[in-house]
Amino acid sequence: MAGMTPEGTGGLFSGGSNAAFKSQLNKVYTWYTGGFILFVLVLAVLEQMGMGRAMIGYCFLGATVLLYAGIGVMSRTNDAAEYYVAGRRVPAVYNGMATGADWMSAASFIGMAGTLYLTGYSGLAFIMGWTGGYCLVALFLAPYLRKFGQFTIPDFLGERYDGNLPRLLGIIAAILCSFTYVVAQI
Amino acid sequence: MQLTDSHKQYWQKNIRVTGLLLVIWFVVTYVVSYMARDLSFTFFGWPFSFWMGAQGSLVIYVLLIAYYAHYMNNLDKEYDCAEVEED
Repeated sequence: MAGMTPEGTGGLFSGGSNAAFKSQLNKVYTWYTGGFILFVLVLAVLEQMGMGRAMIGYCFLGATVLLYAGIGVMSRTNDAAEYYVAGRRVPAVYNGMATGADWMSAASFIGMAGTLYLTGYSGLAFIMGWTGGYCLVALFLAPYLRKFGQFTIPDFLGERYDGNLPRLLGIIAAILCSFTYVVAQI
Repeated sequence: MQLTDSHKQYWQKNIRVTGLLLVIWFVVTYVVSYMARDLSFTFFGWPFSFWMGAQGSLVIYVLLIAYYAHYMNNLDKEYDCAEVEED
């Protein structure tokens, strides 16, 4: 890894052509998937050999933290566009997979089961809301966000409507959503 | 920037498809939930409004997004403003 230089973008994904970036990305994804399957298999074997449940939990936690640290080290960069949106080079399918992974969070699996059990039909509002919201994002925000070259939705609103009030509204909406989401998660 | 006729045409088509999809979105989301009691005939073994909330509407949402992306990609190509991918 040629990442010890202090200047320049450094990291695994620096420079290079788009095709090289894509093949590098495929390689990393393949390694990640293989590694994950291996990790689960090893844990399954260890469990059969009598490893405690708490220990398995610690293993998962430690592996996740290490993985994030590893990804951070591998793709470190000084460039804002590289940092926020990976240089806008990630193919749509990969972005879609990331969005799907976000959708299938602890809130959807654990929180939603409880909410639906508790509230019945009204609980479906959560499901329709956070999936139907993607339609609004796809129709109103996503295409223009990219064209305006901004990184965040408040930034985009500020740029598009030329003022701090729209930006403030965007920030308030973002905080409100995250807050509701965390409540559902807990 | 001066808008040419082709710009206006492109934007018109963009607005039209956005509006159409939004109407479908509104019917699926609000009209169906508002009339949930009247729509509770059996569908796949579930009351229709329940099935819509849990699965039907989600399927329709995904189809809406897929159609929009497909349509806009074609439109970009037709009006020659697609993002070219440099190697």
